[in-house]
Amino acid sequence: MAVLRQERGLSRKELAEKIGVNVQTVGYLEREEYNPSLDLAFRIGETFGLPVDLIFSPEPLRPLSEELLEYKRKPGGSHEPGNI
Amino acid sequence: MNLAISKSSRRRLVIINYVALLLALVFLIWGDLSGWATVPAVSALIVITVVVVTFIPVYGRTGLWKFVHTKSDKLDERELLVTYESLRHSYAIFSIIALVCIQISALTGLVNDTTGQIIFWFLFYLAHTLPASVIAWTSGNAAQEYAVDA
Repeated sequence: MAVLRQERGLSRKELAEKIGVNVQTVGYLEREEYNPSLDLAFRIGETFGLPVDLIFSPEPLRPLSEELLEYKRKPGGSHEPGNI
Repeated sequence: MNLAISKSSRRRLVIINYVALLLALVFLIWGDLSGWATVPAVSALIVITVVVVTFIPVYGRTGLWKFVHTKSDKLDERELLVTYESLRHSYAIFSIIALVCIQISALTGLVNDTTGQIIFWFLFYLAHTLPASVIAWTSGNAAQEYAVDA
């Protein structure tokens, strides 16, 4: 969540206002010390324009190198470096 | 309001606060029964000072006092959860202490107007500080974030 917030140039306070929580709660969400309710999760998803399961996936995010490797191995995937 | 007080410091202050409170109760009752002799009266004053001095950092500066006394419509879902949990634990602790006080009072027959008032204010203080103490005790080192901008 912290990455998504920073990508969009939002401060914690601004994000807190958008999703209707106190600013401390944004910190807890970003540190994964609090699991949001379904309602709050949807509001966060709506704010970032992303599906909820992408933001709050129980699986840790895979390294980008692994993602690229898998993409290249797929049929039709590019083998040219830089042609992704 | 966002002072960095570590978990261990918070716990230490909570213990000192409640030990001083318990001693204040003992000295005040002793003072009343002894016709306010110098030793219990002065001791009571000292420990009450300790209660006040430790109250300020652990409940005031951390924002915990304000947090647990904030109306629920100003809290978000995480804060409500934290508050409910702290109230649940506080209720259990408070019930036991209140029942013990009542039982001791009944068994010893020491309760008169003054000691009754002393016990009342002791329980009153406990009832108001226990939820904040539970949060101070259980929260991690990010508890200073409970300072509410309400």
